[in-house]
Amino acid sequence: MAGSLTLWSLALLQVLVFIAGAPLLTGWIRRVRSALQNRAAPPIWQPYRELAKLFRKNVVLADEASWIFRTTPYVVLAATVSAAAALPAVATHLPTDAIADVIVLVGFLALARFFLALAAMDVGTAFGGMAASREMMVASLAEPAMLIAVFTLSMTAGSTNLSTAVGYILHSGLVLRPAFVFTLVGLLMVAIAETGRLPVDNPATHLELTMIHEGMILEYGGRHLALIEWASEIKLMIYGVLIADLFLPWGIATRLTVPSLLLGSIALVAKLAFWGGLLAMVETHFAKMRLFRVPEFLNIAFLLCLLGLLSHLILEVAL
Amino acid sequence: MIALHLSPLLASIFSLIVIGALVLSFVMLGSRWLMDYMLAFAVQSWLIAILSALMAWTGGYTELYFVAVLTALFRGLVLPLMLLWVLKRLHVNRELHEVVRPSTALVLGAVLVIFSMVVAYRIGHAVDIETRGVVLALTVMLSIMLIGFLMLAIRREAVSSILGILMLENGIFLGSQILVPGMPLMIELVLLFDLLVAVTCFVVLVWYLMASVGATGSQALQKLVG
Amino acid sequence: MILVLGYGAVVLPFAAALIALLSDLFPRTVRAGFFLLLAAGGGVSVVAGVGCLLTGGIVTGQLGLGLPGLAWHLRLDPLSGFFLAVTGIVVVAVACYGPAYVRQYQNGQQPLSALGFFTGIFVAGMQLVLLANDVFLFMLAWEIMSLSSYFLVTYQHQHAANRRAGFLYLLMAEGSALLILLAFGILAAFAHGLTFGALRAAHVPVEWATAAFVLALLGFGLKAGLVPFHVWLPEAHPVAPSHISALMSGLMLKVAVYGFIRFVYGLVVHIQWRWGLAVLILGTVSALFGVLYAIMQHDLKRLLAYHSVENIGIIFMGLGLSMIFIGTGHPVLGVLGLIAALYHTLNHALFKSLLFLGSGAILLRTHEGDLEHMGGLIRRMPQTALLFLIGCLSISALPPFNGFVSEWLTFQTALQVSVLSNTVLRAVLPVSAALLALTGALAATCFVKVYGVAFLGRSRTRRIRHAREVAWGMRVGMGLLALLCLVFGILPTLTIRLIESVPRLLLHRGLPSASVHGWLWLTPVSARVASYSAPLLVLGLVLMLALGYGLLHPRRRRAAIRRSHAWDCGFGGLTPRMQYTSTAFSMPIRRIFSPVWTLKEQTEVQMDDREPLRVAGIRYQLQISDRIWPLLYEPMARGLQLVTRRIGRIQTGRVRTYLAYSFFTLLLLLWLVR
Repeated sequence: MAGSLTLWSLALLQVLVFIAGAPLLTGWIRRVRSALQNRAAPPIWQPYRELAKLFRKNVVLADEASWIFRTTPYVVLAATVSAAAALPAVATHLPTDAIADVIVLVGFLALARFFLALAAMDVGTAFGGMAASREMMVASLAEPAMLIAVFTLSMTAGSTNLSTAVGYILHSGLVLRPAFVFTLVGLLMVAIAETGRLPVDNPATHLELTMIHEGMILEYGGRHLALIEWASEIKLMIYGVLIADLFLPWGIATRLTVPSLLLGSIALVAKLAFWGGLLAMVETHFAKMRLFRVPEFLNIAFLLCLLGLLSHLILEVAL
Repeated sequence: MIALHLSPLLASIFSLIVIGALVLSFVMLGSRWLMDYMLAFAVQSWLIAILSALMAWTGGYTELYFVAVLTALFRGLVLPLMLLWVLKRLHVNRELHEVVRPSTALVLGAVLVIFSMVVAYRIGHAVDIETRGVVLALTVMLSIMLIGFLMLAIRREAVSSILGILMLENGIFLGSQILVPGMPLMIELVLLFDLLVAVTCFVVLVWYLMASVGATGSQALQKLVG
Repeated sequence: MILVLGYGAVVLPFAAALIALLSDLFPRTVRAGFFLLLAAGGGVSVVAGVGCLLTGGIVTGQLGLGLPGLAWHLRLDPLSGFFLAVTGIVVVAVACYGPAYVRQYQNGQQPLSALGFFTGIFVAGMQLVLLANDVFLFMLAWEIMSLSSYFLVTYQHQHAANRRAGFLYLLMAEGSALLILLAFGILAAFAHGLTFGALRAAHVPVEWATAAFVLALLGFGLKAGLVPFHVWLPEAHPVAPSHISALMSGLMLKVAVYGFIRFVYGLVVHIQWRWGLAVLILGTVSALFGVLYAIMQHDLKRLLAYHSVENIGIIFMGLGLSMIFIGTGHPVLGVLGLIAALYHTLNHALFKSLLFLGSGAILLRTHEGDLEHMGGLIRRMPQTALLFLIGCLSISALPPFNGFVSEWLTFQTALQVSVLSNTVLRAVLPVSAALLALTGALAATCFVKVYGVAFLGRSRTRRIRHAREVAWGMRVGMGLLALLCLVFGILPTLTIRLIESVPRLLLHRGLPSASVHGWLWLTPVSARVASYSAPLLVLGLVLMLALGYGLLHPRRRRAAIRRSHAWDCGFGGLTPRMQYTSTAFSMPIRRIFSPVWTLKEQTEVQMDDREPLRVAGIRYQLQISDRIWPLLYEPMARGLQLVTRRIGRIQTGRVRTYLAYSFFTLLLLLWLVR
């Protein structure tokens, strides 16, 4: 009993660290981006300052806003944190890992998106509707690619449970799997689309006609906005950790001893720093696509994931 | 037969190069820009050359080095340059009339790959060499060929058609490299020069077409029907 | 004892139907009595069904009704028990909903007695199909179900569209009955007798079994609304009164699924994987096309009807996977697929009925079925809005609601593809699962549209602005279904333990691995492969919501939250007409998947007469139609017409010719008789 209590508290601790650390990743990305673009960078804890400012501010609601609008920030944050809880970040085989597998994780992110899109339509502005429509389109097209990627990984590891999958990949050692290379590229593209980063959506723009995610939260302010911003920072981190777990799991703690946990944390920070740097680079090098190029982008992601799956079928499944 | 005595890492690199060649044919299928087609073709040829060289190194076929150099030179350099010259002179830089939208074409391509995979398993089963490497090579070979055919069917620009044929041929060449690496050098050379002649003919034809019809799209050929 | 309850499930709705005939004499009492009896029938059938699932027993009975020498054979086993329970739940909900809803027809053009009578007969017919244990009774009950629902579809027959829909429905229903009869006929040719037991014992050669399977797939598929046989569904379901649409979409399609399962798993038994592949492909196509067509609709009930096509597709995908695994010798995975399909059947019955009842509530209060005219209903009908939201979340397969569980199980089944050795299957299964993911995401898109346009934003018309909340009975009916949507989403392990006795009956094995780790953990294959703990997730979700709300909501700060105009990037001057409409919302999807529909788009720009470059008005017209009509049905109709015209030539209209025909027939017969 004491053992399981320790496990649960460790899991809780992991989630708390995850939530608390998410703004840092965003700060890091902004910093790298500024450096790449020869701009003076804001301090890395700038996102915390922004959150703190928003939490202090009062909420102003539109006249038409219903209870959907007011509960959405809480639902979005809760759903995103639930998804984060199911993810082995520092250590595997924590009890929370078994609660949900990858498909459930994707389902929870979809739940958050559903509510966010509804909230966008709640006030009745054209911007909100437009953004909701676009967000749902992008998500619909990203979903099949994501699932094919999940298929490849779970067929390799024989499991959709992330802990088990990580364990399998660690166990099988350093093998270059062509299937994984293609799946990785495909999944990166999906992650960029899902987290609303640059070639697909611009997280920094307030130019109304080009935005997707920002358009949905246009009417939010104060602590509501803070919650949503925080949730989207967590979501960004979720994708980073997910990709790190599946393709570069080395370093993650498989035993619950202090040194291995420390090593796991350091490895996680290093991987996330790499992920952030990669995103910043992509964002610096690519211009935002026209909206109707996004389906082609996601189509290519799907194709890469499918090629990954097929090469897995040919090369790795017993004949 | 290959891929039997390769170390896992080397086998993975082989597979990666082979699938990379397939991805490049998708680039051709999914793009609207003729320049992209050409670049993709050039890179694909270089990949095949690297594959030949690797094959020569692992299998000890010295003549394959020669083939690799020739492939890189002809397919990777001379042919793309010729096409580039044509493109510059013709002032066409993109496929204007899409019979099938690129994203739809990509989906069709994916279906073709699945089809090729199934066929590859059948062939592998029939000739009793069902190793993974062979199935992969067969799949990629068939897919590149079929995608080349698809390009021919759904693109109207003459240059796209040439590239479609070249890609089709690349697929065959790639397959032959892996499946029968000990193929007589003579045949490989003949193939290469054959191709050169074919492309030269094409270029001349396109040139005449431009001069006499004023366009290079295949729909313009309808005008010639009596 | 349990069979008596089963009889009750048939007799009570039938009694309700008889009582309804009196409703023109004593409208109030009869209405109450009718729905009470209907609810009792539903309750009894739930008890019978659940009881049967719990015990896993089989009871048979024989009634001396019907034609002499052809006694009615009845049987209550876990399969029929499961479907009885599903029907019962929805019937109870509809019975709660009905009294307040049918009041609007009281002084209408059509007698209320007809509506009541056919509703009762319809429900009784469905229950009888589930209990039938011989071909004769099955077909009889099937026809009762089809014909009575025809009268329900054409209940408001003053509208020409309803009559047309009714005719189409009747045509398709009879076509399906014919195909099913032929399928039974093939089996019966090899059997001694017409009872299901005799058919099961028959040794059917595999070619004939395949023929029977194809006929059954077509027949039951027609009735279930698989693409390309779905065309009647979006016509017929929306025009019936809403509680009838709920019964038809929620239940009648399920009876067709029941028939298919009974035929393939219960009678043919030796399942081939090729059949499974056909079912899987048909299911995938139905799911994808159903949702794509649904997204383009702006009539709420039509949209929901297209979603039924989608969900039936998902159910058939589960069945197809199950058949593939059974046919290739992996019965455990076959069980998993069957359970996924059955679970989705249950879920679809619940949320689709809920959504149809919700759309009926809107229709009752606003007389508006077009999404483009709605908006802001959440402020007018807050409780209906909440219940409808639960329905939307469930159908969009979002955790922690029930739709997610069944789709997750379907994914888990498809994920086991690596046990298969056939390459075609290995390539097809993941692709169809990816298409299922696409379907799910598109369904979510569609229901964001529905809910956003209908319930959120500002009211677009006056009727909507003056809407009121519906009567409590209707809310109770919807609330029951919404609650069950949540319950079946949170407690999948217990539900599966109940459903399990169906595969135990059909495939002689259960799915013990699903609940090895207790009721908290759902582990369909093994804990190593995948696990999902809905109760813990919901607990976490609720805790976090409470924590967030408790910490952040300004209780100490007395000031109420400030309300102001919408910011809207500072443009201001918003009118309801500036909102995104349903057509606008679905435009990106329309553009991406444009080859799927026949689209006719027209934009007319009118220039101002005085100022030559000023646009005075723009008129935009969009017409979307189903591709299946010109591709399949119109050529078929033309061909039929051609053939009949040819045959029609022998009808000359002259008496002498007819006499000559008789004469020649006589000659021929005399020649043949030896």
